[in-house]
Amino acid sequence: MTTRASRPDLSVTLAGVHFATPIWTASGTAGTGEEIAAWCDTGKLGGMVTKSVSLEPRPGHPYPRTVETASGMLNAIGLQNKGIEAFIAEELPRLRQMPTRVIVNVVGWAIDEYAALAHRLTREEGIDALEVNLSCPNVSRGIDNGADPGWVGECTAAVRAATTTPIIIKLTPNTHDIASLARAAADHGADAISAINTLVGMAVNHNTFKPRLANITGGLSGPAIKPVALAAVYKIKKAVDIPVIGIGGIMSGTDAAEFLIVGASAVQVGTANFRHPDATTRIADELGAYLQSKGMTRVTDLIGRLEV
Amino acid sequence: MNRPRRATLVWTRRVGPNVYHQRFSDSLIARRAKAGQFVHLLPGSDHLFRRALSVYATDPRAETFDVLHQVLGAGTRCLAHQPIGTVIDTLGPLGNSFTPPARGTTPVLVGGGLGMAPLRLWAAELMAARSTRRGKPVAPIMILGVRTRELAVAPYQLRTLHVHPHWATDDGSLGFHGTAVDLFADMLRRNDWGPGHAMVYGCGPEPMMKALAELCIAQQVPCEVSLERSMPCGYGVCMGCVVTSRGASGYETYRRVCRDGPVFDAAAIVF
Ligand SMILES: Cc1cc2nc3c(=O)[nH]c(=O)nc-3n(C[C@H](O)[C@H](O)[C@H](O)COP(=O)(O)OP(=O)(O)OC[C@H]3O[C@@H](n4cnc5c(N)ncnc54)[C@H](O)[C@@H]3O)c2cc1C
Ligand SMILES: Cc1cc2nc3c(=O)[nH]c(=O)nc-3n(C[C@H](O)[C@H](O)[C@H](O)COP(=O)(O)O)c2cc1C
Ligand code: FES
Repeated sequence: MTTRASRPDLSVTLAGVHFATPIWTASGTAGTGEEIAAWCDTGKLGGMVTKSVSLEPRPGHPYPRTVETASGMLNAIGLQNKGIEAFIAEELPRLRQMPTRVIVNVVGWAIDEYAALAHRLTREEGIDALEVNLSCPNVSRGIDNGADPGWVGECTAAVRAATTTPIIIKLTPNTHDIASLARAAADHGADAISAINTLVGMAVNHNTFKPRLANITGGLSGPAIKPVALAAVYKIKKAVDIPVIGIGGIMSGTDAAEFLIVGASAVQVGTANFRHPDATTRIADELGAYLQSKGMTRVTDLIGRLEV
Repeated sequence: MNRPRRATLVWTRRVGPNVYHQRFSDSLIARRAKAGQFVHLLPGSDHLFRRALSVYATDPRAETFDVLHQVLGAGTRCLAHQPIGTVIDTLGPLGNSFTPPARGTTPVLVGGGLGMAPLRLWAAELMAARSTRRGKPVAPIMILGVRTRELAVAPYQLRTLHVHPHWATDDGSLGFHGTAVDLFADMLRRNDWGPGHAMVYGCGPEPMMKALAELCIAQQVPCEVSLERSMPCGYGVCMGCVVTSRGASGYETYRRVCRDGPVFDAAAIVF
């Protein structure tokens, strides 16, 4: 029997914001908040990261948009969203009511679009941080720019200048040197880094000789990418001293713990939400139980405990 | 708050080549599921995602629900071979359901292959409405198409409902020689099923749904189709299961089959 008093403290503070737990939903994997709230106690969520929102509405890519692969999935949703004004009018009011932190993820085609989005959202209440998606593999230029440290630095600086809200720069793993991307972001005013977005992948139907995704290539996520994500967090932690949020293949409390051990201050859960609508709350509970099994009273005691 | 269900496998019957009829016990799904809705089942711990199956029958008193499925890949194979008593992690009932026909209108159910699954439950609901509702609704007419006679599974399930399907086979081995839509077109010509007299409900492979939708639109017969998509989440968060639909103003947009469907007004879909 666990008593309330013996329950470990899962709260973390990063970029000056207090989060009830280090378990957040990852962008694009929790709907508009309403869908997932019907299945899990969102009060147990540290934060809810919205799907990427752009200045103009985007229809996204045609179907088929997803494929199940070995220990993972490919997606090419194509950043379907209603655009910033409809987001503010229709989704933000509901998100504000949720008992969790709200992180709005933004995506643009060019640096001035990122800055315009950040500027527009600064006027809105109830946004605890912005996550800047410099890494979507499903749209042209999404990665080309995101893999260029010069561009990452410039974009971070532009967003920084446009807002007083904490900014988290979300990086791509589709590069040989994620540490230099993190350094560029940190040097230009990022409050935190989140890593990783999906890896470029492809699936082919050997009967029809056709690609399985309408967009031909897509982003790989799920347990298949966890080792890549852990290595990315490890490299970034060595390169910068701002907080890192680990993302990639987290399905359980011990998966989350591994990211924290490597140095992440929080984690985001993506693909696991598709398998279990209550994945995030389960993971938060499992992380608590894991800490207890290690005799730890605070989750912050676990962060950066990697022994090499 | 919704919760994942722990549905227990009661029995499995092989009812055709690679076709399985399975019964699960779960009080909530048994009580709540409506025709057109589906359950999202995690076949076993090795699978990353769930598999969507239409609810084929329910028995609220016995607290059971049935599915009828074809083994297509690893997921459905695993499900078909689970031992009796296995607890399957299940979401449901999910999605929307068929709209009842206007008073005095003949419901015509047109199914292709395993598309008969949700239509059987719909036939059961329509027949139940006949015994309980005043001003007796019209009995449904069922048209089912399969490739060949062997695949005409589970007719006994329909006999208990007193619904006698009109069969169509691609090879002519049973009933009408041709597709279910060809047979429906034939019956449409011979019966007075014009505007205001019939309402069509379709479920089957997409090319069939397209043909059915086109025919119904041309003949001005209202038609609802139940669509199938690969569904990673099944509850509306991944945006993977989309279908192109016409908005009210005529512009095209993507809608989620799991949450906005799986049943749609055929005229609203861009096939
Ligand atoms: C709302 C709905 C109701 C359905 N009802 C029935 C039913 O009553 N009986 C029946 O036999 N089948 C039904 N299907 C189709 C059934 O879900 C697929 O045949 C099944 O998911 C295949 O899984 P698999 O692992 O055997 O095949 P795999 O090909 O190995 O599946 C891999 C992945 O693709 C998805 N997938 C593959 N093919 C399809 C498909 N045609 N439609 C949807 N998802 C697919 C699976 O969910 C899985 O995530 C329904 C589908 C939907 C969306
Ligand atoms: C269906 C789907 C949609 C996604 N959409 C977005 C998005 O809009 N913006 C973004 O920054 N990341 C998006 N991602 C990436 C996830 O936020 C996350 O970085 C990635 O999936 C790795 O985590 P996971 O393995 O836990 O899923 C998406 C991922 C998936 C699977
Ligand atoms: S299956 Fe995920 S939105 Fe429909």
